[in-house]
Amino acid sequence: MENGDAKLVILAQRGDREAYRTLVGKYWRVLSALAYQTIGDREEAEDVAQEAFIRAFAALPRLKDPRKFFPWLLAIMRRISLDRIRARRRRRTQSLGDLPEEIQPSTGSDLEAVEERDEAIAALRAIGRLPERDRIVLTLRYLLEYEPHRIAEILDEPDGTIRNRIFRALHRLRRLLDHG
Amino acid sequence: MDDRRRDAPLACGEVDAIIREALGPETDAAGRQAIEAHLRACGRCARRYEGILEADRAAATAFRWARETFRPREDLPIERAGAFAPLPRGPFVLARRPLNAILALAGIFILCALAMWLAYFAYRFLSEKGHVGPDASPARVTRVRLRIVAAALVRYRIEHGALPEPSIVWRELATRDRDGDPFLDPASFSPGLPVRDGFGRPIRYEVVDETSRAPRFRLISSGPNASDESGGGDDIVEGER
Repeated sequence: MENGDAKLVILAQRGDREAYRTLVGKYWRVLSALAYQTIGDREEAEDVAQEAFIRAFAALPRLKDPRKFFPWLLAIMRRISLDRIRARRRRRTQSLGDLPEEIQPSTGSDLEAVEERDEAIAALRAIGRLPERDRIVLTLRYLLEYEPHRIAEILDEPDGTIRNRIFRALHRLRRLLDHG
Repeated sequence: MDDRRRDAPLACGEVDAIIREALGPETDAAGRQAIEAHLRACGRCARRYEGILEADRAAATAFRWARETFRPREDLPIERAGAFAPLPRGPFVLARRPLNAILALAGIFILCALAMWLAYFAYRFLSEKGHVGPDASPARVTRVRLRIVAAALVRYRIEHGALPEPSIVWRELATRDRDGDPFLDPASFSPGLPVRDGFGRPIRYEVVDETSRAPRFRLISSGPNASDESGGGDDIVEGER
């Protein structure tokens, strides 16, 4: 994790709201996108992200190593996502394999934009079928446009490992896109 | 990209590695040219690379949409979770968590009991070996015993107005004062009276300035070398100056 993030986490642990809001701003999209890949519903994905940030904030003083904030936040988000998926299965109103709301036939006038959106959603659904480690690196790489070395810092892993993972993830993604 | 890669045709395995690197910003123009040259010549790698690019474009499209769609909520209710109240640290944690406090106190109690138990047995062991304790060394025992006898003699003189004769000193000290207490309790010494020094030898008692109006006494132990040197050498002496 970057030193800047670690500093923000330490400040937030001391009760600095603005520092935490900065972290929220930085990682909101990543968490929402990752939750969306698993859940397939935009509103619910953002709810998951919100709940993850709230829970993380409440538990922040217990985070011993501020450099591991992001992996820790991911773990919280993962638990919330799984809880929601289980609850959804219990309700039997919608399963993970169902189409998310965004992919329903659109009646929008801007056909190109709609097509691009549908493409994006289909790609996100495919990404959602990748192993979690691959999803995380792709999200950081393409959503935040982080270089591999920066992702390596955030995830506390070697640079080469991250490059390999991005490469393999793209291979897998291509196969998923080809074969549906 | 090193010179070898620039000049020589690339193997397929090398292209894989370079494509991997190309995902980062490090591949320079020469490196890209080498890759392109290989891709023009190798259909398998070209298809592979094209597939990677396709996935790269799809991921970029997907996340561009995600970036535009997911915007941080301005009204994130982080205070809802009781946040911004950092947990207390150190001893204050115990005050907030009674169970922890009880466990901590129980732990401290057990540790103290264990420490005392160990100290007790260590003391007993060392006492038996003669390293510590009131009877640690014969010389020390001798000094203590001489002081006790000296105190008894002072009490005797106060009671009777004179010191006892050396020949009958132990018998006289075994008598009782007007309160009924013995000047010297034989039960306090082993093996009773006459009192022996810490080396197990008799203590010599003598009256100094016997003819003066205020005679003084001296108690002498012959000390570790067992030789009575009349208060000199290693003799241990207690008395009035």
